[in-house]
Amino acid sequence: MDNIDSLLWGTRAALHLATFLIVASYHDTGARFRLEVTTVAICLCGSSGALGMLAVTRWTPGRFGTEYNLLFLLFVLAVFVIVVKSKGNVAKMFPRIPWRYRP
Amino acid sequence: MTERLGELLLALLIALGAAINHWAAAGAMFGCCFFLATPSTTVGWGRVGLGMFSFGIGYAAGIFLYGGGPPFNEKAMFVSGGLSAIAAGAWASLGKAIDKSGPLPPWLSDILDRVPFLKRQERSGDDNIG
Repeated sequence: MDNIDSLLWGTRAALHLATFLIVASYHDTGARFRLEVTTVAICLCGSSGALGMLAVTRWTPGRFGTEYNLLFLLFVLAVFVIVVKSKGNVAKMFPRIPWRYRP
Repeated sequence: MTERLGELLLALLIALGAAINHWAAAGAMFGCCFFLATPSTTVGWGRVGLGMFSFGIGYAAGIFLYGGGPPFNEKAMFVSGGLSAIAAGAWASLGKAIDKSGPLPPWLSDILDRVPFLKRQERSGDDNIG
């Protein structure tokens, strides 16, 4: 059981840090400043890095196996997939199609 | 042999985790991402250096104000995050100004004008007019 716990914990830490690195390493010289994109990028990148750091430094054997952590791992995985699909470009995560219903 | 190595690495990781002030480290990690506010100013290794610099400043501030432990004080996270963010933002703006040999950002020159020995001198010719 401890091995599975360690594996899940390590997976979560790796996903957090990978998300952090992908968003932080994105660079576009022609990018223009948009407040909402910058805010989301900083929140996503910063919280991923901080959670990854906490996951690494506060790792304790046999402490993972709660439903909360399992669900959180799935959420982190979903965020990671979105970040990988957009290649770290947070602006790409914002839909360009109008989302309001217009009859 | 491999199991021993694994155990050793695990023990090292746990010891490192116990020694690090995790709240300060997490706050500094959050704050060092604030270079994303000016994404075009830093590239490649410059960005890595800026991140490490602001992380170091933030972590050091957290340790300085809320050192001692374990258990560590959660307030270290706010101090570290704030100072790390300020360091990242200021350093990125300064780097941009130096790269372009242009004027300093207005907010930075305003701050510098408030420091007595850095205050810009009035032009001597201005008083002689008239």
